[in-house]
Order: sequence, then C-alpha cells, then structure tokens
Amino acid sequence: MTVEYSDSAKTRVKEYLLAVRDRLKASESVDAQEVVNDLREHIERELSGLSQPVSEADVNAVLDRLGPPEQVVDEGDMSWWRKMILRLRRGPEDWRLAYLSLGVLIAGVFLARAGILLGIIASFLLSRAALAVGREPDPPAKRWLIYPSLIIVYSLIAFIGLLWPALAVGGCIGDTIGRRGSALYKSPLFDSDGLGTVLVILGGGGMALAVWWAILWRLGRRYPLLVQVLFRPFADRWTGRLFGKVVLGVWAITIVLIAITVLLWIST
Amino acid sequence: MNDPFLTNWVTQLRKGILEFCVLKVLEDASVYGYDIVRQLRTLDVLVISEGTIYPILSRLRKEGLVKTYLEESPEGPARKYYQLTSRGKDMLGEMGRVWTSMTQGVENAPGMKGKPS
Repeated sequence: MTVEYSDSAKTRVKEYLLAVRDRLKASESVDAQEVVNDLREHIERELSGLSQPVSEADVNAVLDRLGPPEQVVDEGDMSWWRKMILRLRRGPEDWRLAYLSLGVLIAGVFLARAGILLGIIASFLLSRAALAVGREPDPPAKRWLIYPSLIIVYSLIAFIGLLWPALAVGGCIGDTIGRRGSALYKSPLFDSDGLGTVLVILGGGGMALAVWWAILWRLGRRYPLLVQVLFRPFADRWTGRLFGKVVLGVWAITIVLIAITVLLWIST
Repeated sequence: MNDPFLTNWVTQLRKGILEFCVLKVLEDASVYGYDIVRQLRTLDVLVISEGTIYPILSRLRKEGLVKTYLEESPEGPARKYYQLTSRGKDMLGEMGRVWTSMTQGVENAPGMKGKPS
C-alpha cells in the first residue's frame, strides 16, 4: 500500500495532520502521535485504490469524510488556556483576530499615552477584521474580545459626529455674550441670574443640533448601508426610524427653548 | 441545527453512544482500526466525522478498555488490531445494562409514550 501524492495533495495531508496533532496535544486523554498515525494510515488506505499520483481533490474527499480538525478533537477535554493558545496559533482566523484585538488593547493600556491611542486603533482594526472574516452571529465569548475597542471608537465617532454643531454654536454664542462690546452683552436679558444666558446657549446649540441631525437622518435614510458598515455590528438593523423620532424630539425641545427665550427677552 | 445548546447536547449524546458502539464492534473479535471506522460509517447519524473514532480508540486504550497488537498484512505494512481487555469486556457489559435500562426508562417515561416527534 504505497500512495503517491501530487505536491498539493501532499501539502494538504501534511497540514491536516499537523492541525489535528496540535489540537490533540492539548487533549490529555489521548495519545496525539498514535491518533495521527492512525489517521495517516486511514488516509492512505482510502487513497490506495485510486489512480496514482492522487490529486488534492482526492485527498479533500477523504479529509471531508474524516471531518475538520476541530471536529475530530473534542474541545471539552482542553483547559481554557490551551484552547486560547490553540485558537491563536491555528485559528479559525476570526478567533485569532479576536484574541489579538483584546491583547493589543490591553497592551496599549500598559504603554505610554501614544501607546494607548495606537493600541485602540490597532485593536479596532483587528476587531473589524475579525468581524469581516467571522460567521454571523458572533458567539457571546467572541463579543467580549472584539467589542471593547469597537465600543470605544464608535462612541468617539458618535460623540464627535453628533455633538460638534451644538458644541461649536453653543461655544460661539457663549463667547459673543461674554464680549463686552456686543449687543447681546448689553441686553438686559443677560443681566439677570444667568438663566437667559443658559437658555440662549441651549437654544442656539439645540437649533444647530436639530439641523445637523436632520441632515444626518436624511443621509442615513438614503444610504442605510453607510451607517450599517460604519457602526458594524451594532447598526446592522439600522433603518433610521428611531433616529427620526429622536430628531423630532430635539426639534420640539429646541422650539420650546427658543420660545421661552424670546418670551423672556420680550418681558425684560 | 445552529442553536449552540442543541449542538452541544447532540455532541454529548453522540459521544457517549459512539464510545459504546466502538466497544460493541470489538465485542466478538479483534478488528483492524480502519475496519472499525468502515463498520461504523454506516451509522451516519452517529458518525458525522469518521476522524472522531480514532481519538476514541486512543482514549479507550489509555483507559485500559482495549489493547492493540500488530499483525502482518499481505497488502502492505503491518496493521494495528484492537481488542477488548478483560476490563473492557466488563465495562461493555455494564454499559449494555445501563443502555438497556436507559432506553426502556426513556420509552416508558411520562410524556414519551406514543408521542413520536
């Protein structure tokens, strides 16, 4: 029983047996080398009746019946740290990336300031790569590995992207009110206990926010895929409906604020 | 069968029964390892991946339930045969009794009679 392999078929068998042996080494209840020898013998027995040299397709047919390495070896026999090392070394790729993502994030925390920033960016990219190659939906264990950096970066993007008009306009109004020569500074509305100042800043900031969010909402409704891709996997079911209600709420609050401010101005 | 709970349940169920079946194949005679797989591959409900049988054989050998020996083959290299040890025979007897009482118990359990799903 001598089997002659094509180059690719030989590589395929070698890689398969190596992967099985790596997994078996982590299992204490079996003799890894014994099983690998048995599997090699099994493969050769199956291939011996075929025309030689055997092709990679012939080998794949046999290996398909044997099952993938992760199915051949029961992970229940392994300790958690062995499973982790194994996943880092031999994948599946999405798990390897997930472990790397959390590892890089933790390493970044222990480094200097620039290290934290670099760690977050690198971890975020690894998490997105893990999402890209992973099967959906991600199992809960993997979410713990890839979500931390995603949540940090998405929160930053959302915070800056959503609130910058309110901060900018509110800040400008505050500066203008504070400038001694300005008309707003001279207005009696701002001589009181500061309520008028707060109302004008909130009203101006709210108006800027309402306009900006309405633009974002329209864009999000028109290009939902953009939002889904940008905030994957948290916005996978994004349709814009809920955000539309929030935008309406912001408009309502802003109008009320402006109305109160105008009334207050008139009364003073 | 995408639900992780169901997948785990089926895996555990299959694992125990498959070990029992491997011992059962060896009940009456020594069998060449490859032939054990060939005999069991017909049970496609149990043997989803043929490769799972070899780790089971190794575990049973380490547990002292089976032993191996090499025998010359006219077709090529010596073949490894598996046979039950005396402990393996005792264990198979015990497992057979447990299996019978379990299957009968489940069949007679409240809610199971006459209710094929």
